[in-house]
Amino acid sequence: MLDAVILTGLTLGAIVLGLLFIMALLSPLEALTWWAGWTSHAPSPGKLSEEVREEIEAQADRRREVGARPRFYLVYLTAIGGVSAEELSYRERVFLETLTEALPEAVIISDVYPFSVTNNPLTGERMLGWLWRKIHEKRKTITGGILATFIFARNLFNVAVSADPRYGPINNAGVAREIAKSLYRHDYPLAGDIPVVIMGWSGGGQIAVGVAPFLCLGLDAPIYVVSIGGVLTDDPGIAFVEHLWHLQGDKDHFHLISDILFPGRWPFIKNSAWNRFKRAGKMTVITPGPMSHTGKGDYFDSNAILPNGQTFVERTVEIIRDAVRTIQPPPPTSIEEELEELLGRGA
Amino acid sequence: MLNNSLRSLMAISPELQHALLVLFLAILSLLFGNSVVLFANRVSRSQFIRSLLAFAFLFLLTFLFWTLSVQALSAMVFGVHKPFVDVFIIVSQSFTPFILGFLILLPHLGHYLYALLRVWVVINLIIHVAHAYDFGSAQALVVSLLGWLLLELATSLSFLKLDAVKRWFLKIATGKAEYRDPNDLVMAYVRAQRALMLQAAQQQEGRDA
Repeated sequence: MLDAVILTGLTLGAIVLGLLFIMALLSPLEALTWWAGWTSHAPSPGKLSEEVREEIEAQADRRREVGARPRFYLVYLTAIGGVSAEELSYRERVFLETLTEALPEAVIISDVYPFSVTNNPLTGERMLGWLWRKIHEKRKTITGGILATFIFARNLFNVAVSADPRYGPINNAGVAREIAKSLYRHDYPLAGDIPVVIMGWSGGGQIAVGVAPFLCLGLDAPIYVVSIGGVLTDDPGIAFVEHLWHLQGDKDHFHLISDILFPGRWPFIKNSAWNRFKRAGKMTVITPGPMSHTGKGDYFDSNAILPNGQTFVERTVEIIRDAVRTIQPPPPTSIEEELEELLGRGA
Repeated sequence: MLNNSLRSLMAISPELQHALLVLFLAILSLLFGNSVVLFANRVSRSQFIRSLLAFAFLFLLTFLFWTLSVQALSAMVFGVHKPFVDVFIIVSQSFTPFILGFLILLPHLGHYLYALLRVWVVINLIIHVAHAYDFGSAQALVVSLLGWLLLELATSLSFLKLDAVKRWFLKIATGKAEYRDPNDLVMAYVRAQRALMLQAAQQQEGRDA
């Protein structure tokens, strides 16, 4: 009897491991086939996408109605447990609402799903969309909870794709394109200039750093990153970040994964992008309190309370507010000037 | 035709059959493992297949050069001659780790695994050469690596124009002479999109005015 149970357990374990291995092996394909033009919404290098052209026209219409310029734009990227930008968890929604109240001078955006190059939710129109929807629906049951591991794994592999120098540029350019589209939908000026802060929680932290070069170049904007317990790799994209604030709770030990797995973060690799960035004083590590990485007592917990009476989420918001308020806007440039510079570079 | 080919394949020694199978699987696996460069260069589906075949041919040429160099060096330097087929079997056996070449596709781990596989193949070759030729480690090292060094030298000597020949071949076979680095391609794309967007915005401003 016991042998049969052990055998069944081992077989199931082997099947799960096999599935995870196949998922890891196939994980770069979404970004690669998108870039190669084998799927819909593929980029067309020679011409401007119709969506962007429409957005330029719509923005011109809206410009007459728009009031004061926001001081900065904040883009929130969810963690690896997320299936869609529309279906953020309750605690994330509370965090974003609190942050919106704390920063009336900012535009806060949260409609980009960071684990897809086309902003396509895991539960959206995709080959295995039905399966992800089923897993997501049953997430709160015991079996669903176990199956939800596959959601974490899928998105974790996507983080690895983003950090891989072979796939990263393609994957991150796709996500950056979706972020840019969202910014323009929120009236981000075409001439750039307004600072953009990418906030990433957990795996979203790596994506935030990964998209920085493409946003910096594509928007002509200074890019800042707020990493909320972010799993930050040794992505060279960090060189394009003006400043990075990394929140690391006392009970959050996920940073150890990056410390070990990514050679560019090892302290003795002096010339890595990560270590150069740190030496330049562009990184601030902040310990907000006894926060854990995720779940009860994490950065967005509105029930856990600090000795001073603040909830964890209030403390997180306070730190982010104080950090981003130190950002100085760059001097404005005109479209003509920038175009001249760009075309001069042989674009 | 196919029957004849199969019959002639069956007629060859089991060792050679095994060597050919290993070589075929290794090339196939390595090509898929390294296919990222094809996606990055935005090849169409048909170009993808043609490129795989073209790269397989180039890989085979490199393999044959290496085999010939092992045969020639052991004969010329150490005076031990073996028939080409025997050396072919030795070298292809040492390529067995490349059957795992598809693992290069794995994000993050892939490029470390690729480095590991290459080191494994070189060590394998040295061991196989030492065993087959009854050489010491130093002799096996010279015979195994000198060919590779010669190949590296030949490709870096510009007057031999090997690079131009390679580009000509790729152009004929796949329609693409050069395969660029993904990061350069993506950066060029983002820069071009930015310029197009600003031009469109300028035109829009003109219309509004």
